[in-house]
Amino acid sequence: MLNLDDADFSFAREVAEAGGEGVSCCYGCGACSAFCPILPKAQGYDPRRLIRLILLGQRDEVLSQPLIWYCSTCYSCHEVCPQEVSFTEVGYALKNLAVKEGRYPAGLSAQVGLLSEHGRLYEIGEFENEKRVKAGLPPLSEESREYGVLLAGLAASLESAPGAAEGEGGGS
Amino acid sequence: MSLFEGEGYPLPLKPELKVLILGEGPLSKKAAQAAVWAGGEPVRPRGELIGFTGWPGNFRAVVKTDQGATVLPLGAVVLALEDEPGGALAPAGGTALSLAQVNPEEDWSGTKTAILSGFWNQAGPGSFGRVLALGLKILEEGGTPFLFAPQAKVAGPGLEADYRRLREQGGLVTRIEAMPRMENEGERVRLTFEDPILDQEATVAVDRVIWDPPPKAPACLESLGAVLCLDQGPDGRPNPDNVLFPAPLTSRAGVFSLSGGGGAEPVEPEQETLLLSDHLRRLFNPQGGMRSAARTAAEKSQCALCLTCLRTCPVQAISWDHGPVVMEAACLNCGQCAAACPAAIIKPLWPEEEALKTLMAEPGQGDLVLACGRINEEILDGLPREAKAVRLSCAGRVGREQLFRLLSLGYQRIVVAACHPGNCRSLSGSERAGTTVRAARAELKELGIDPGIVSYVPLAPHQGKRLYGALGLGGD
Repeated sequence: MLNLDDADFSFAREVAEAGGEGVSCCYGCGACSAFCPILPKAQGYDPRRLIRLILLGQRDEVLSQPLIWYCSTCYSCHEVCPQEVSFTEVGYALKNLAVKEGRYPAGLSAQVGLLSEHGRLYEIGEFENEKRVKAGLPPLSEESREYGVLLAGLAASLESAPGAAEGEGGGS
Repeated sequence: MSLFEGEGYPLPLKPELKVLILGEGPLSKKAAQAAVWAGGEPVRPRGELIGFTGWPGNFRAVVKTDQGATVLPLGAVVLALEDEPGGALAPAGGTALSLAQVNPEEDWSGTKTAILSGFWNQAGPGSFGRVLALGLKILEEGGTPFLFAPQAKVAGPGLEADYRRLREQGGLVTRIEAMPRMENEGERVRLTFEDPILDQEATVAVDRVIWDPPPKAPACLESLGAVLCLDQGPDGRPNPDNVLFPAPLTSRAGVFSLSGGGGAEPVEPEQETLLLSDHLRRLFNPQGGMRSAARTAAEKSQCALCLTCLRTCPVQAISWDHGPVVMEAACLNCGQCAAACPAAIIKPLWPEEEALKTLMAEPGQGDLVLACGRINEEILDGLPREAKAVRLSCAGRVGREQLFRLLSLGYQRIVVAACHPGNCRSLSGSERAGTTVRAARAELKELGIDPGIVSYVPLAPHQGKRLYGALGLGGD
């Protein structure tokens, strides 16, 4: 039984202001869920359900769910939505809101660390550079301090987010 | 251009037109006036109606009298039903209001108000607009409105913007399938409802409840419905699914209901009378009958001239020229006309039709799923091998005859899987499928056969669980 007595009905607006403007247009047809490639793979993941929880003001339940991090941002839902809700954008908004409160999966801080240190998420080796040269692109060196400078603030902001200590809360 | 204007020789379908007016209390003035305006004569049965056969423009009613039974030739039947505000819904404490009773000076600040709209009838855009406006007013004055409605889509100029505004400003607009349960909780009312998306119960306590008044069904209606072969809802009146609002039509062509369709959208009495007389005139007005050539051609093609197809089409894509003509550009391919045609003369041309034809030609066994084309293919692929699934352009394509034919071919169980009624691409397709299945079930029951062998499952395109559940498979 879901009790709505203490639901936070301003949550839909919060999500809209964070970039998920479409969320309040949803009438629950389920087209997003029907086309979602993640839904059949991940137990419990259902974009339509998440939107419903947002509209029912279940702020805590939504933001603490590891499920919001499952979206592969393939935009299938965006393509089929008759109301232009774009769950992908709603998902970004949810992730941003969750990070602001320090609710993010452990993998995320590792990724930010990699990005700010090396400027990319994976190592550039000889193999990658050979491919780049074949494609007519200049080779890249591992030295990418420029990115590090650009992204220095990112890691800091993630660490300073409230609740960062319990950053595991988001799962992975 | 009206279908019934033009040169040629007007030919009445039936010269002496009587309109039988049924209802409780004195003869309904609206119904009588409409009958006169349409060129007919209003009559009331002097005795109990016990039999009813024929087709629009040529009905025969059997009335039980002191001397035995009389046969009454009729053009049409009007059920004159009256609305009654309030009643069954009000929770014991009496904190509920009908929409019409809302005080404009009401103080909304700091309170929670639930508004229930459209549970008795499909609320038209006009009525939904009023409900949304009330919701916004409550918000502006510092209250919290919770709006519950059974339909999902809100179409109409400006409505969608209001709908968004209401949600973004902290109100709730949500679709639920059935009326919420209401219990008093001190000064407040606790609403409990089944959330169709979360598949779990949700509850909220509010200070006030505002709802559309449920219409009152006359006590005689249940037996009348059986005699007139009307689909009836659980409240004993012509099923709200089949009463087009505000057009006074019931599920049986040629039988109309006046008012009583709901109180969702107020219709001026005069407007209602005009609407009804217009429908009656279309049915049988001697001044506007079909041209004789058209009539002969239609008779040759065994068309019953009942115009059911014209009325059935959700987008008015059917015009009339020596019989029904489907305008391909406007047609949604939903096939509701073909399902409703009593003479089976509408032959749809779309590709799914072949699948249906093949299905009808072969013996069958086990379970059969007739699914709306919007339902995710993977869900149907996930059915066990013994179950056969056919995708149609729309579940509304399934007609009563087809269901019985398929059963006679050997299928043990037929499930008609449709979209949610409020979410049907062909507007009324899902509801029609529901009506067809309910009618078939009633007939099966009468024949002493388990009606459970035919079922209607409305689901969102990805809700395989619901479909599998209906087939007794459980889980995904």
